[in-house]
Amino acid sequence: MENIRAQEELAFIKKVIADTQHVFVQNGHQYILWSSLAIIGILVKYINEGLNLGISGLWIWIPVIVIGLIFSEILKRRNYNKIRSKTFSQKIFETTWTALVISFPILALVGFYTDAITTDAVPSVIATLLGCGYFITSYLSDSKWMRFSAFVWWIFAITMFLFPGKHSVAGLGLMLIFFQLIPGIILSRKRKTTAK
Amino acid sequence: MKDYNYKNIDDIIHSRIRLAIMAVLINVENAEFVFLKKQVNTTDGNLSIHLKKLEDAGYVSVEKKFENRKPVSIYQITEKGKRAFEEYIKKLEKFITK
Repeated sequence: MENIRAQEELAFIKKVIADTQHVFVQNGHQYILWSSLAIIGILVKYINEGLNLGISGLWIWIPVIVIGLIFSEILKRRNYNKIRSKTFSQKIFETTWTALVISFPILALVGFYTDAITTDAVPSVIATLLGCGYFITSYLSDSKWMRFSAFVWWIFAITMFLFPGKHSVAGLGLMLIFFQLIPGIILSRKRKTTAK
Repeated sequence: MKDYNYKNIDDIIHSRIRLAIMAVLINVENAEFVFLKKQVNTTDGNLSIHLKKLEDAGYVSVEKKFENRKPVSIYQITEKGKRAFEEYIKKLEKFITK
């Protein structure tokens, strides 16, 4: 009898632990930040080319990345103070996106600087990584929309690898609006409603 | 009294709600009262009573502050609490496999 009770207790503990590990909150602020900065960077790039200003691409993207990292850290701290209850899923989510944020400049800037990755291939590489990020996030948040957007990012990456050109950066900009900025705004509004 | 004797188990943890609180807190760096309430699925009053017992035993620590003029309580499991919880699990497992 007591043996059964002990088994029940252990099963109960396991259930509580499993339930807690799956708790996952995202407010979309990081998506809004990075997509907005990337879109601004893309616009500056096109203005630079259109007006023949002759500014090096590195001088456009390095400030974008530095500003992004500073604001990302500020948002993380503010978010940490609001969410507090950091679960296993939350840690996986943050680690995944931190790893991706570190990888983007390595591939885009260093890859471009060393000629290992051509300018036209950069949007495809970024899209491939974003697909990975969304795919992992979709499992943590159990979101079909996220899973769908991961595949859209990968399809976009394949298309741009097959048909590279100057349009690929504009394509990346559009993808960022529809598959990062808008979902980020929706998540942010959702979070505000549930937090009330 | 044998080691696996059920009566030999930690009385402070050995309550469904307190056990649930400990299981939640062992998983997170810290947790807000509201988060605990949602995970443990109990009332404010009940949760407060059980948290107080765990706090008095030194198993959890609490940080109380005001944010936007609202009181916020943040709970964290202590080292003593972690050891007690692990010991509790070990005893349960020993009891099952005896």
